[in-house]
Amino acid sequence: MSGHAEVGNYLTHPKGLRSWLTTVDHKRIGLMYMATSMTFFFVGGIFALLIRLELMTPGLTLMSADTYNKFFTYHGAIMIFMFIIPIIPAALGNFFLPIMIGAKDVAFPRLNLASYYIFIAGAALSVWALMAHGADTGWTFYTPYSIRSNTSVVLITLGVFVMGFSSILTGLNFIVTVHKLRCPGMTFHRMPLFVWAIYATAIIQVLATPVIGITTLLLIMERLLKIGIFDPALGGDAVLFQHFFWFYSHPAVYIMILPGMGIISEVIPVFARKHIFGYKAIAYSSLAIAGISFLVWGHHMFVSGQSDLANMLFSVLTMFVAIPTAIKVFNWTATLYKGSISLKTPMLYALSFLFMFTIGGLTGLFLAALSVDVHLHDTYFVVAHFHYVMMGGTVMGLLAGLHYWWPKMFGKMVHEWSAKISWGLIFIGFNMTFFTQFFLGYLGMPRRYYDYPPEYAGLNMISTIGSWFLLAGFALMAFYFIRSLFLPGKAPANPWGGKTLEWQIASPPTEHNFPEIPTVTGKPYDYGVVKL
Amino acid sequence: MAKGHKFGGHARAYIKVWAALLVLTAVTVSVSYYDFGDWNAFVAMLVATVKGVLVCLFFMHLMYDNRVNQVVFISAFVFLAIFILLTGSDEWFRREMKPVKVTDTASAALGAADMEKLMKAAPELAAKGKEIYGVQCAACHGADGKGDGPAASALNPKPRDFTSGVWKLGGTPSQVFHTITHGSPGTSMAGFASVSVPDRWALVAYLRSLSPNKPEDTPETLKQSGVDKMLDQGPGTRDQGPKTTEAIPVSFAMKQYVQTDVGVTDLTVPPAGTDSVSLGQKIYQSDCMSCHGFQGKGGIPVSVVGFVSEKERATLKTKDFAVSRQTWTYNQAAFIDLVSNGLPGRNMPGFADYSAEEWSALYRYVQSLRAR
Amino acid sequence: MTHGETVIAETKHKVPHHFDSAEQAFESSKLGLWLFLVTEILLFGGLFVAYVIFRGLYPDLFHTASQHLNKILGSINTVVLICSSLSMALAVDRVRQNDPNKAHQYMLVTLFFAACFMIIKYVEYTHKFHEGLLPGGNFTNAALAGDPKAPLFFSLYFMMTGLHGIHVLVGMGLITWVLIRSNRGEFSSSYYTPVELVGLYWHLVDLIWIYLFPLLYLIG
Repeated sequence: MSGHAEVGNYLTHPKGLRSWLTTVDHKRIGLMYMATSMTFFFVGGIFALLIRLELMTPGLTLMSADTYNKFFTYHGAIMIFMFIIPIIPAALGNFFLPIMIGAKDVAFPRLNLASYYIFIAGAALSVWALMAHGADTGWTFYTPYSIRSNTSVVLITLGVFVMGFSSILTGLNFIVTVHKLRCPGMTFHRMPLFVWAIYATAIIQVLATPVIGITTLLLIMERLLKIGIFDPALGGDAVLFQHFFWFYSHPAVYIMILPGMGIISEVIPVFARKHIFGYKAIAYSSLAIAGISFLVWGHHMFVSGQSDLANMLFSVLTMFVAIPTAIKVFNWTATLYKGSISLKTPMLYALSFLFMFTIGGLTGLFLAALSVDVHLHDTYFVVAHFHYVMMGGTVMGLLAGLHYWWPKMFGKMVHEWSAKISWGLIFIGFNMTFFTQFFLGYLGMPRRYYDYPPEYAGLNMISTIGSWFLLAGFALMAFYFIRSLFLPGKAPANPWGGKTLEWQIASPPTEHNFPEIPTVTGKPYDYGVVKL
Repeated sequence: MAKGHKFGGHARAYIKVWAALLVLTAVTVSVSYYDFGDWNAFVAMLVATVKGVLVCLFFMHLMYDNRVNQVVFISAFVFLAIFILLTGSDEWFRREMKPVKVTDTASAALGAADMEKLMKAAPELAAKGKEIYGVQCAACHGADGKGDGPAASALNPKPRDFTSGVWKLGGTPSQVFHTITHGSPGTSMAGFASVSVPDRWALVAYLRSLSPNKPEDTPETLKQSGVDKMLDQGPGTRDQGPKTTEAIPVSFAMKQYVQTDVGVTDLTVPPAGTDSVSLGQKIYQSDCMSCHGFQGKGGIPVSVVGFVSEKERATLKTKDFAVSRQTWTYNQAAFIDLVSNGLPGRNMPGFADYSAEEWSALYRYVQSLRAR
Repeated sequence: MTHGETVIAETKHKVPHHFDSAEQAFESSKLGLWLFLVTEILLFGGLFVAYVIFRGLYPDLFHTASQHLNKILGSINTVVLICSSLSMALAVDRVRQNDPNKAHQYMLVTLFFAACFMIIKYVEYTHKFHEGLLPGGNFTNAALAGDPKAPLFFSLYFMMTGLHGIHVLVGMGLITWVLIRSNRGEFSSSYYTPVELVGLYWHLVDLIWIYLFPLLYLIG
């Protein structure tokens, strides 16, 4: 299929800003999502650095307690709702899911563009809220404080409500695309594992996101009309809000991590040059994780005054998440076994994912154990745990995917050694920043305070210095990514020797992806016959 | 569009379903006038579900639709059921919340036999008492118990000189224990109920060892000081109340840890220019000093945050006023707001019962401590 | 725009280029709408959860408070919505049978029933406002003043029926939209996807009311 005549690729054809803003091409919409979310990643990252600066020394280092409360709220809300939820499904998923199943576009291209603009509208509302009176509730908006706080809670939750719609429509679009637009021969069991992961993610998006919609709506009504459902003073129950919130937000954790796992399942077989071990096990464990994710939300509420019955149920159910997760880690490791491993940057990130996500996952089991959680709840142990999952997992997966697919998306190779140095800085910086926090949390340092007793000073200093390594790593990455776009030369269609469909077409792809609809005849990771 | 034609012309079926829905509506309304007790909700939901299924199967022709659409739609109800049941497993099964009784947790933790042992002024108890005395009492009562501590000059009446042999509120062990626990009304002597019971008995032993006058307890003094309730005087006589206490409040447990923490320096330095006692200073010394220190230098632990090692604790300490840059340092309204609401996360209680004159006096005094 | 585009002759409707056939496009849209209906159910689901939880906790309160709702008006509204559902189903059926004139009449009937529903709802709401049966902190009704948790029932009543009412209004807008398009002759037995989807949406609105009615009005 290669070697067809050079028609304009999707980046340059058609031309003009207007053609971008009104595009219905899934690849362009994916890139627009990526640019937007990466901007928010940058903003959220700035807040993270400021938080770490304040915590560098005990006492007031940089900002007052009120400012700190706002900053950690901004960091959480921006990173969760505007970066980590949309970045892989809506950016990379949008770009690659249709190509990987041999489709010309997603099922509903105009809806796809609409969900991008809905996302922008929601993000704009939230940013407006941050600039108006800010918010100091934390990204969780727990009642009753969120009912009383005199900050812009209504605006920011309205923003979350609107962004939820965008997430629902994206998920809906992907499910229909996977069901109805697979090319001839592309059976469910021949789909690449990234598609399986995005499919499982989309199921969660469709089932869980409406609940955050009604939750934020009720919170807004609580503030505007005093409906009292979450307000104990009016007969309601403040803890009920936590149930509502986590019924969405726990599955949302899997909206964040499943696509990252999908990318790892793509990268590992390509750079180990082996057929993936346990294809079906990985595919179905994605669905299992999606299903179980709805049964475990109460583990966020072990110390909220929840009933003993619920505590026990949720503690046991949470343990079950470990099974499909461990199946995945086992299969990835088994794929590496006796593989012909080449340590290109995407592979480095994939291996870091295995290392750090395993730490994040196992510490999650500590927290799932009821009695241990009572000690560790709301300490830095929890902070370290979910950063190991979210940043050590999802962000590492994202970076693996970005480096892996960058040549396909833009037709340019990045400078390999710059990328490796940047990886080193990020790997060291991340572990310095967050591994220390396991100790801090275990020693009792609570989260969400701008200050701490001097006994914790040493570890906090190391953590803050680690955040500067991260800054350096990401700055270098931004530099070499942007620079690669202006370098001469063109990436080959298949620089890594991948077997999935996206590598069989031009880099960058043409507007409708395939000159003619392909017919698939085999499994996606068949490296027995690859020629390099 | 082959599939579209498969179920064309369903008008007659629709009208049948419509009739069934109307009948079921009539049924559910009329049934609601009869009382089935606990089954009311069940009957109503059963009828509603039959109606709902009819709408889904025929009006929405889910019956003829493909398997994927059927699974998709049914999954909504499955996950809704999960949502309801797991939320219910909390909301409907919460333990009844009772207010925690905290009257005398400390003594409840001790057996009556231990109490009697503690009451005997053993020498090793006095030695321990001396250590505690150094932290808790010496600032006012002086290192040697002569009532000449660094803070004594600011106080009126002067702190007790234990070597004089005079006991204002009685010198028997139980009376001294009572005074330490509840303080001495009308003086600067505060109650130290936050000190654990064994430690208070150790203090009793030490204080009595300083005094030439050591009266012994009689049943009357025991009764008068309330100590008899802590002692086992045969079955039925002991007050069983405190033993039933279910939970030790966290704040209480914290205090237990905090008061063994040493390194309190501010208490030993006399404040500057203490000759005339201003109103602000008076309020400060009665309400604020115990945590913020004489000079507002802070550094006094008020809460245990965690354990850095088995012995070393990470504690929350009060701040030096001078280093703060918050609004209250230059704005009296903000100061009043802060002090009346307190800082819950930092164990600062709210103090709101001041007159306007007292507020500005306290504000000025705290400012003067900052300026120092 | 030449990538395998099929044009359906009678309706001038173009099948979007990324679909192979009109049937694939129709089935995709329908699956998309079923998924959307799932999100609607879970959106309302949050309110149902709140309802079930609080009714489980305070059964007597719900019993007393529901006596203040008008059972007759509620029943009439149920009948009205069921009738509108029937006329909508018949309208879709007529479009599918290439009988646009009948279909237009059925759609107008549906709109009429929907308007009736909203008017009755309006009457009920004004009545509640007069009696001070308002949500949560705005509650001023004297008869129920003795029960501090009574406002909770009316919070749920207004949230559930309010959200449902918004859906009825949206549904009326959508029916008007397909009516206009149908008048322009855009639909036929070979392309009627929007009518089919609006029909499904309208039945869901009916379905939700079928549950709201006994839960709110008929607590025996």
